[in-house]
Amino acid sequence: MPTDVVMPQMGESIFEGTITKWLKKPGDSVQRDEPLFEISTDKVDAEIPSPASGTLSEIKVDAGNTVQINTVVAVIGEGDGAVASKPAAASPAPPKQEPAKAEKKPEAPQTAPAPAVVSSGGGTDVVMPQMGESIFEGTITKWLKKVGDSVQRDEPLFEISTDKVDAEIPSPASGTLSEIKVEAGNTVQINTVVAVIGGGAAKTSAPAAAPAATSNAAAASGTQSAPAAPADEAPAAAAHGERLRSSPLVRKIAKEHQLDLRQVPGTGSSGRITKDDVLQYIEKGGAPKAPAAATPAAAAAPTGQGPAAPKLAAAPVPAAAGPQPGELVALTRMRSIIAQRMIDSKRTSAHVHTVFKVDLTRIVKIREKEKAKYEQRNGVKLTYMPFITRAVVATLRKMPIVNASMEGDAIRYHQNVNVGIAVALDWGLIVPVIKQAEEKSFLGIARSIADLAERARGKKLKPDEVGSGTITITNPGIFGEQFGTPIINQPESAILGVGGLFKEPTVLTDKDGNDSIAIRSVIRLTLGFDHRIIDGADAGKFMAEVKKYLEDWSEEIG
Amino acid sequence: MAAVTYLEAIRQGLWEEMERDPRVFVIGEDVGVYGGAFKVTEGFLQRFGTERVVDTPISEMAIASAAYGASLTGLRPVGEFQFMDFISSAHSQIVQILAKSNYRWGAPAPLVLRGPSGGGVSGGPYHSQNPEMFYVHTPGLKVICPATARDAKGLIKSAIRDNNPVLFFEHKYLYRRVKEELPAEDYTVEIGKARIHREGKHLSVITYAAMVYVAEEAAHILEKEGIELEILDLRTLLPLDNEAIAATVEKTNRVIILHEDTKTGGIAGEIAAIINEEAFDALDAPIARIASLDAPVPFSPPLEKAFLPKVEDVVREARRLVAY
Repeated sequence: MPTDVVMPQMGESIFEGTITKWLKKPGDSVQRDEPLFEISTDKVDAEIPSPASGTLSEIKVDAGNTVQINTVVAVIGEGDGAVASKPAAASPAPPKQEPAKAEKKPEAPQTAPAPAVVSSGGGTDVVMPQMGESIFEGTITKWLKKVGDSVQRDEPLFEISTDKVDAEIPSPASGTLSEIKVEAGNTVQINTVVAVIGGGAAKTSAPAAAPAATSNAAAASGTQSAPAAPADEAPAAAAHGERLRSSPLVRKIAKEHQLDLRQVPGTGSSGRITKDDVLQYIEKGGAPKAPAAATPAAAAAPTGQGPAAPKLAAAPVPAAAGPQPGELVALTRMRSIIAQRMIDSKRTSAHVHTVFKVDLTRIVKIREKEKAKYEQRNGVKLTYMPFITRAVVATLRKMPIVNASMEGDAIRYHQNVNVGIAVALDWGLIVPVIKQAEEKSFLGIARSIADLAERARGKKLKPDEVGSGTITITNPGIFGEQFGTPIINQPESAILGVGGLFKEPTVLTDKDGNDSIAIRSVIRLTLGFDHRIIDGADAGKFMAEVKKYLEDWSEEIG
Repeated sequence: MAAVTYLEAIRQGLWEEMERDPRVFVIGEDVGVYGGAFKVTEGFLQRFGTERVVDTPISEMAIASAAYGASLTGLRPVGEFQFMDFISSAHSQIVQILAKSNYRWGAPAPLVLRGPSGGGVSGGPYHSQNPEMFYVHTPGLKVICPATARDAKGLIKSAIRDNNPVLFFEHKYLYRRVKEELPAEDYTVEIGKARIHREGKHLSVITYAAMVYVAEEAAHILEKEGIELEILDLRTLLPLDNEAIAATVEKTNRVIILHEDTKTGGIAGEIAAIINEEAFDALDAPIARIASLDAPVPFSPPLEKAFLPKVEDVVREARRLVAY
């Protein structure tokens, strides 16, 4: 009987994966546990071992495609009769050192988001909305209303933070906030009911800790399935917010066999214990499994190597010394994502930085002359950012290697120039993207920058306005820095840091070769680039072009 | 023996019952000279004469009422509605009188009201509906929805021999699309018994009528992925075969309920409740419902296609449940 090879679940909140490469062709013979294909998920990249020995008879999903977990991606013939479509068959491989491209957009469309409003029992359920295609959970960062408060329809009710955006969520109905089911700080799956509006007297209910899978879930399940843990400690783990997922049938079987389900590794959706999991467990004599057989995320967590374990809270602390005095504040979701992305990027790209001094005197003069009229005419402030952005976009059209990404063993030259603009927020940092910037005029770019920055600060960005960038510009110069060494925003390959504007004595040479010293307005631009695909010469040429574009500015500004 | 269509099977069933029992007669619009809009009673007038093949004015209420009156006198009428959509015109008679006759007056009403229902033929909102659930909600009636030629013949005969009012919903999409060889002998199919249409072990699709074939097509696709669908054809919606429903759930632990009727108030909700009551501990995944959209049946072919449950829907839900 042929064996199905399925997309494994590589972590608790991972529902799909991209096949990046097949290591075997149809017709090749393959041994059990021999690497068969490579995948990339939101959490890890990994080599997936073959679940059986035999001949690879069919590849159902070609490299480059993203499929949901448990999708059959290949069939192995002449193997042993392993039960079809059981992810348990594929034992998880340790994640490779190369971290995931966290920003990679899934190609497989999700089904339409469920309606955000569900009426039940006289009240209106407020659910965690889906804030973008590949987003499956969100963290409630703040409740803007208390239980008992009255709230109008569309009035902001709570704030959330997801992998993509921070947003204020409006109330789906008018009435009294009668119950908050998920307290701030907790992360829940989309469509989870987080509060109830109306529906009888307001009651102050204790927020249900149980259904909220916290963002530390992966680590928690790691301890939970550790066989060494005494049984009476397990309930404590459950109290941390980890709900044991099974089914009526599984619970009945467990009861009949007097099993503790906490010892049974789950392979179903979100780590659910399925019928086959529990039967397999019984078949193996109910012996506790080795930790390696637990969910891949749990297995990866203790190593602290893979990107699946970015939880900084787990950073080693010297055992003997007590904690340093001071307030311990949990990471916000945005903070932990920034932390993970920055570490991932440093690990992924071979960062090199090159600094160019650019004489902006000509542009300063244009700006001084035009800025009042410009704002009157166009309703947008004339800043230096659109000048720099235009110079970058125009130069990228000539130097496509700087507008490219590494994809596996290939370089993707992006068709469009999507410029990310780093926006500092009081609570962190976000990079909204000007899509297809090459099609925008100077004024169009100026407007986009102002609009994105304003909406970023107001938490009004849409999910698709974050991500899909091909290059990023960051402007810490406003704080007076000379220049910085910015970290690339993966999977991009370059980031331009804009230093502060200073008046400096500068040696000018006229066309006869005579030198003189003049006071000029200069900035320093730093290009952080990925040396895996961009060499120093390319970066130098790119920066020289940008410098020339700015110093010889001749473009209409609208 | 040659394969026989679903329509021909019903015709044979009616014919044989009329040959067997002189109390049986047919009554409806155009059933006589014209032989019925879909030709189910073609040739009946010539064989059985105007006494037993009665043309009526265009009034479903009149057909139901005349059939009821005749049944009280000891006859066994079979009324034909040209389209089951218009059964609503006889609703009061069926629900208030036929269904309660035996209970209220001790007067059995052994009659059959039959006709074509269902969509998939671009018939629009008045010639494509599945009105069976109005009557499944009415104690005192029996409701039959066959999917195969063999069952159609066997069940029409059982319906005629039954002493209760029986509503017999034929699926017009299947009339000339499904064919099979029928047993040569006189046979009947018991009312109230479901049938395993296809054996499988990973997931059950509980369905009836034309959707049996949608499930079958999905089963062929899923088979290649190692997912073996079991298909339970209910055949009778009232009374439901609770035992067969529980048995298939006990066997596969995962269920999709699929029907062409619209979702809200469709029989899937009822069956889900039965499973909850009788086989909750057998579930390894949530119960999935696949049904038509809660809308009138669109006339436009692409819209009707979007409205009706599709093979892809079954395949998608099956994959989801198996991976659950």
